[in-house]
Amino acid sequence: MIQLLPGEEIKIIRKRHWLPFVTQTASLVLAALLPVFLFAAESFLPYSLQQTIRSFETFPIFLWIAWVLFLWIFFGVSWTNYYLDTLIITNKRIIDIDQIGLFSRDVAEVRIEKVEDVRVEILGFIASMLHYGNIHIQTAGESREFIIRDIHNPHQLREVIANAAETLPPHP
Amino acid sequence: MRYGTVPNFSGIALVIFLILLVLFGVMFVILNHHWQKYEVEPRRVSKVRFVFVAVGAILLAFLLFFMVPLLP
Repeated sequence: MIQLLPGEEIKIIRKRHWLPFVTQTASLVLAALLPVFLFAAESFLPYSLQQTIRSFETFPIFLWIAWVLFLWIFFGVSWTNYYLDTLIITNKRIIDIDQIGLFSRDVAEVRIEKVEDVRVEILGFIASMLHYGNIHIQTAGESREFIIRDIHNPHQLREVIANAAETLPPHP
Repeated sequence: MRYGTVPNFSGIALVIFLILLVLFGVMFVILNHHWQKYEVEPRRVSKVRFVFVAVGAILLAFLLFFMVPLLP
């Protein structure tokens, strides 16, 4: 959880877009179904090989379920990495939490008053149709760009950042 | 291996089952720690935990079911 500063309030909390995660999940489903296709192809094998496979009794099914369980554990890790990626915009900061792996977490933050330029990047037909893309935030005093990837409705987030910047109290 | 003989997979099956049981238990503890520590909406944690454990338990039960005939 993020500790808020005095007088800080959350404007928006946004997760990563679901499409990259669904694409990854689809590959896991295919991997889970692959042994089923191999079992189905058994009838095309020579008779002697079919007899050998049948002599294994329930072992191929056992191996398939073990494989599915392994993929289920992998799915749990993958979902956690997806779900814990969070963007939080407050009236004072932009906080991008990137869960890279189970033991690797990157929390980057930019103060709103440091934001100089916000650029939205939507790449490709699918991203345009599903309204997701990247946000590039140029900050003052730092050469590196702050990039938030695969976020839903980046134009709305740019508006939220612009509004937060406008409501900042003037510097003394 | 000669045709007609039934190979003995009981040892391999038992090892695979135990490895997956331990792996599932360890990964559940690690993932549960992440869900509780970093989750923004705590109400969702219990649902996620239930689904992960329920599916894992069903798959482990099926593994056990298909392992028993392989045992000597």
